[in-house]
Parts: sequence; C-alpha cells; structure tokens
Amino acid sequence: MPSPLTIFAKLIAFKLPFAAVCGGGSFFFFPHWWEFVNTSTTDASGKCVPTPVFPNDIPAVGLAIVDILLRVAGLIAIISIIVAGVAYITASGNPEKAASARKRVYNSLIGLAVVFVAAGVVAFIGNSLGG
Amino acid sequence: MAQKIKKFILSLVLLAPLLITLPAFAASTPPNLPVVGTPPGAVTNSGAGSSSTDVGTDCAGESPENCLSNQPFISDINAVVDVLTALVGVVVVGVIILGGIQYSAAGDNPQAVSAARKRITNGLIALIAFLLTAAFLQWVIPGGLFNS
Repeated sequence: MPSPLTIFAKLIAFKLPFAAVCGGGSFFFFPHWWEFVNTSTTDASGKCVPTPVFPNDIPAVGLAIVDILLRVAGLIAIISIIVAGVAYITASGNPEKAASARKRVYNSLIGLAVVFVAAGVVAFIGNSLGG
Repeated sequence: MAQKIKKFILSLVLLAPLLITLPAFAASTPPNLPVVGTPPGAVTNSGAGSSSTDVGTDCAGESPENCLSNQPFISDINAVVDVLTALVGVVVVGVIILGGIQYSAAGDNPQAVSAARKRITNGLIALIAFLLTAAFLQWVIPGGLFNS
C-alpha cells in the first residue's frame, strides 16, 4: 500500500549503486562524474570507460555532482576562514575591521553547517528508510 | 517575511488531513475502470472465445491497478516519473549545498548572505511543493504514482 512515507522514501532513498566498476579515484581532489554509474567498464590499459544507461543513471550522475559540490563547499569554507584570520590579524586594533573579520568567520561556519546538515540528514533518512 | 512563514504554515496545516487520510483513499479505488474503445453494452454478448474482446485487450481478470500499470505507455511514464523523483532529492540537496557555498563565500556582505539564505529557502520550498504534489497525485491516480 503506497503511503506518503513510501513516497518520501522513494524521494531520497533510491538505491545507490555503490559497487561501481571503476569507482573511487579522483581528479584534483574531486571525484569523477561516473562515481556512482555502475555500468562502467575498463579498457585494456586500465582506463575507465563509463557507459551510463540514459534515463536510469541521471540521478547517479547528479549525485556525483553533489559529491563534487560537497568538496567545493569544504574548500571554500576553509579558504574563507583563512582570509578572515588574515584580516583579523591585520585589523591591528581597528574595531570595525575586527568585527568584519569576525562576521566573515561566522558566515563561513554557518555555510559549512548548512552543507553538513543537508548532506547528513539526507544520508541518515535515506539509510534508515531505504535500507 | 514572518507573515509569509505564517501563511505557509497555515496552508500546510490545512493540507495535512490530505496526507493523513491518503492510505484510506488509496484503499477505496473504484473497482471498475472504464475501458477505452468498448461500449458498456458490448460486454454482454456471451459468445465462447470472445473473452479477449470483452475486457479491453491486456487486462482480463486483473485488478485495475495492474491493468493500468501494464499498459506500455503508462509504464514508460512510470519510468520517467521514477527517474525524475530520484532527481528531485538530488537537485534539492545540490541547491542547498550551493546555498551553503554561497553563505561561506559571502564574507561580511549582508546582501550576499541574504541571497544565500533565499536560495536555501527556495530549495526547501521546492522540496515541500514536490511532496505535496506527489501526495495529491497519489490520491488522484487509481494505481498510485509509483508502480511498486
């Protein structure tokens, strides 16, 4: 019997193809877009050849893009905190500059928290509902 | 902004009975769907071997849910709906993460902060709108929105 709960489960807990043929690996700290496409093959030289199935693998590719965005968010938050720290150091007693730097740190931490909550809540609900 | 949130919560409360009573509505689907192409009088010519003509083409003696979801056109639509449903969750999470990136990169600029907050709010609104739409379609369509 379909119920709103199953709709919700379907929404966020579609099966993750974790057993990707050539998953893992990364390009400049970022995962490949075929990370979750499980129909990839490797050619003779060991290079990955992703062969996504057209309608069914679109969410998998979107999920890989989300994974890339997670790393981008971490990088930008760290860079922003470092910039704010430098601004705090060079404020040198100027209260306006110090307040600006403090606000910058707060905002980057809030952004990081938003990202972690979004990713974590979805992963938790997906695991507990979809199995 | 506060008024907007109040209006939104009020509409959610008004629509909540729909979500709660959804399984009851799904249980009471009409037993007989009208079959396209056969007039109601044509069913009663009880000739031997005419069983393929009296109830549609594919669904002799099947429940209307199965009959509907076995049609090739309906199953194609179901595949598209499944893919799009999975995409909704992915895209909403992506938008919220983009909003988080925007928040991190906003620095001490209050305008940029409000833009990031607006993006996150819009992502959540999209999620809730999709949930309500899916619930409504689940109630309207006899076999349900998903063929599972």
